[in-house]
Parts: sequence; structure tokens; C-alpha cells
Amino acid sequence: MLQTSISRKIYFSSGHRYAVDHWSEDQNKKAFGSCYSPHGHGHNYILEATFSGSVNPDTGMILDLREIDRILKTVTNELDHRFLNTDIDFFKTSVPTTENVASYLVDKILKLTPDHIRLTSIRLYESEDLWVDIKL
Amino acid sequence: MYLTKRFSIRAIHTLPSEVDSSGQLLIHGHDCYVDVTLKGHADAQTGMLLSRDLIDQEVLKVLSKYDKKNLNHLLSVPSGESLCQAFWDELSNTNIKNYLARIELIETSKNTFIISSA
Repeated sequence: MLQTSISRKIYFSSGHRYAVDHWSEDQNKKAFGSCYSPHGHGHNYILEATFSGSVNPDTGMILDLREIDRILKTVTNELDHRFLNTDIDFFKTSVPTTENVASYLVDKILKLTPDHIRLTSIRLYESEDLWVDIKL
Repeated sequence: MYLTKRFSIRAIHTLPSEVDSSGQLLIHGHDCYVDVTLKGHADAQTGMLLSRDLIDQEVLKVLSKYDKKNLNHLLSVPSGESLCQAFWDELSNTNIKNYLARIELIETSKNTFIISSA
């Protein structure tokens, strides 16, 4: 049976710091290497979310693109132009690596996804040369 | 969860099918992307599937053997498929071998070679 999917991208920019607060500087340097900096750094993230579902015969769409944008904007607005380690409660106890940010976004998107469609995967680009995929 | 890191190599090669009208082999080069995909879970403490430095160290150790080289000196038939296979075989003997899921060699914007465990 054929499955139809739609992928949509959204952009956001955030700062973060790779460090475990209760570790020594040496431990952090060993674990995070060049990603460790006491000041942190930032990225222009690209989130690409893919949804699948039945095509509505009247609209010809799985879900109105405006509704997909609303979902993606809602979850990324919270992170956009923020310093993740301090501004987002979840990342006060969890290092905001691309892996953890991707998992966080999946949980948030799932809560907003209408019952008649399915989130099948997300890809989160930290940069052009590093990204994380989560397939559901 | 999959983590992909993009690397690049620039190398020259020729293939048996790439000859001019006089039968001379056409040696040429490409500026290739090599996307290495690792599969696993984010570590509960570090939040990372694998340390970025370890990935760089292991992948660059392999790719440096091919970067800015004549691939015909390293592989009998240095096609994109063979090169992808060579990267896979060599990375399968490194400290990231247990995470290795896929290698994508983007030779040009029109040619991509993929090798994966699934």
C-alpha cells in the first residue's frame, strides 16, 4: 500500500554549551573535546519534520501546510534566540546536544500532531555537516 | 537515532570505461562529500551518541589515505561503489565500528553512492 508523506522545514537559532555542570573542567574537556567551551556557541538549526497520512480527497493534502507550520513554529519558537542550557527547563538537567534537542522536539511535535496523521521522522541539522535523524 | 557527520575528500581517478577516442585514459578529479551515519542512543550523561572528536579522529584517519591522492594507486577499479566499500571496510576496523550504519559518497551533484547495514 502506498504511503504519502510531507516534509516541511523550519529554521531557528539557539545558543548552547556542551558541559555537565557537576563535572570538572578536565572531565568536560575529555568528554566534549572541541565542543566544550565555558562560554558556549550557537547554531542556525534546520528542523525537517515528515508526516504521513491519508490524502484528504477534498483538499488534496495530508494536512494543511499552515497547520504544519503552526506546529513547527510552536515548538521551535520556544528555542529560537535562546540559550538552551539556561532558558529551557529541560536542558537545565540535560546537555542540549543535537541528539537531545532532536528528542525534545519529537516529544513536543507529537503532542501537537493531530490524531489522523503520523509524525514519521525528523531531521535536525546543527550545521551543513552534522545532523541527527529520529525515525518513529 | 542516527547521527550523520559530513566530511569531504578531493582525489583523482580514472575508470576503464573513461577513455578518449585515442584510447587514452581520462584522468579527472572530484570534490566529494562523505556522509558517515552512526546509529545508537544518546548517552544519558553527555547527551551524545558519540564524541564528535572521536568520530573526526577515526573517520579522518581513513579518509586521509584517499584525500588528494590518485585513487588508481589505491584501488584496482576506483569507482564510487568501490570507494564507498573501501571506506566501509576500513571504518569497520575503527573505534566507531559498532555504530556504523551508512556511508553516502556524493561524488557530484548527480552521482551518489550509498552503502548501509540495512
